Amino acid sequence: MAVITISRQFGAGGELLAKKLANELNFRLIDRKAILVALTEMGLSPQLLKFDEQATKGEDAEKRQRFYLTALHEHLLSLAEKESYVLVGRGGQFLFRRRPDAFHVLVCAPFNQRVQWVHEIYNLEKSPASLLVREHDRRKRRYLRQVFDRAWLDPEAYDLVVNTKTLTPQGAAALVRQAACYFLERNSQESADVSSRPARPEQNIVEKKPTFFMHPSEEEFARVLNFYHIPWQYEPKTFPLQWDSEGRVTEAFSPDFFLPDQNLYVELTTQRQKLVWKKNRKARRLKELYPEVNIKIIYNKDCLHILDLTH
Amino acid sequence: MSYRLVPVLCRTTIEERIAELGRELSRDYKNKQPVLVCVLRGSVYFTVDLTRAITVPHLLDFISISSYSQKTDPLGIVRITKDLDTSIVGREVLIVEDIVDTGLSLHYLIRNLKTRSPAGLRVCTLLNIPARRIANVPLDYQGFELPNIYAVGYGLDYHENYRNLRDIFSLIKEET
Repeated sequence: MAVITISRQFGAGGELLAKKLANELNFRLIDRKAILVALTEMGLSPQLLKFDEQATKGEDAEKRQRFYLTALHEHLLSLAEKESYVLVGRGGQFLFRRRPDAFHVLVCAPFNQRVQWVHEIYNLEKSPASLLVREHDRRKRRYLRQVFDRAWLDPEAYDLVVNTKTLTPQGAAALVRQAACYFLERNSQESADVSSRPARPEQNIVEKKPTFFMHPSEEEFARVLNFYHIPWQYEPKTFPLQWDSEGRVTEAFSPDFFLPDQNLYVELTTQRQKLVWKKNRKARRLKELYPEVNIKIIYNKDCLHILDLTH
Repeated sequence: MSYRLVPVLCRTTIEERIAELGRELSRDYKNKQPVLVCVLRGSVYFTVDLTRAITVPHLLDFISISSYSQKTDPLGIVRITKDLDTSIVGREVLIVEDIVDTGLSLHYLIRNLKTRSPAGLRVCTLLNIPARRIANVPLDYQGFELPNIYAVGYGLDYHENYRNLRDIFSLIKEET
């Protein structure tokens, strides 16, 4: 997965550039509208949504802002596990700054040029347009300082900085697209290089796709994993354990779950402990034949414990 | 069903180990003024004793997250039910846990706190039960590693019981 973050000075045309880029790359565009829809669906109250990209003052407001930010950042991070997208603003350059699969762009233009564009687009006089640009710049700087304690226009925060005055908005968009394609190509090569790891499965944290479980305890376990945002895959792989003289598989083992982030296979058993020797034997055999595979058998007692009280 | 308590760690052993942890933390966090994040409610007892064993300045804050067993959230996802009162941006943070077994809630907490840009984030747990681990979580300081038992006492509860015991016990369920 990849995230392209677009930070923008007000009036520099960053939103339009992001929209064009998302269209051309066939990535989802995560802008103000998409965020408000997603967070509303998550159950956030409209009073909290007003904290979107807003710095705050006062202890109470800061607390509520923190609540909003926790939901926002969780949403953005979870989404990045599932799909690639273009993110407009929200401090994405800092939120994803350590991720190798994120590419950070700053779209800027000189102050006078932005005032001129705001004057033309919003049909404002020069003086209020100038005030508006100044206000937005100040607000953004304060927001990023407050939330991430970082300087907004620090060039080290970005992989690419484009000036929409000198390049023109069209030229800047073409350049960003070219750079993003180059980055995505490199990123996918690097991901392929780590192919010794098991393939990344569908990350059904939000259970977008229904899974049919063999046993109710498996379904309940999947719910626990979803609860704690742990990506999982149900019975993704079968490991042959025994072969006959003609090479046909005579015994195999399909663990119930694979947790990609933990690189761990999990087998649940609700049988009584003394009846699980078969599964124990299979797990031992699996470890002998596939030493790189991590497997954990969760017994009935532990299973009940996890479902009852999870630490 | 009846329950039997088998002693596992007595108060003297716990006190001695906490004193050692306090010395270790005081050395590692010298001049760093860490924020100690106590995960409510189980680790309150441990955190209180631990802070008294730490000799360097630090700040104490509390956080609480919903647990799966409570099933209070209609969306079925973990939520912060009591957030920190302090900002941890640029601060050294130490999460203080009473017990880490599956690691699922701690895994969520670490991920959540990391998004707030602390300067450093470490974990100190009194008890570690690696046999039950599902999520990989880094433990920087631990009091005791235990086998796969159900521990209660010294803050650890079973359906809100046994928290107030001074020693740590293994809770054994017996079918009658």
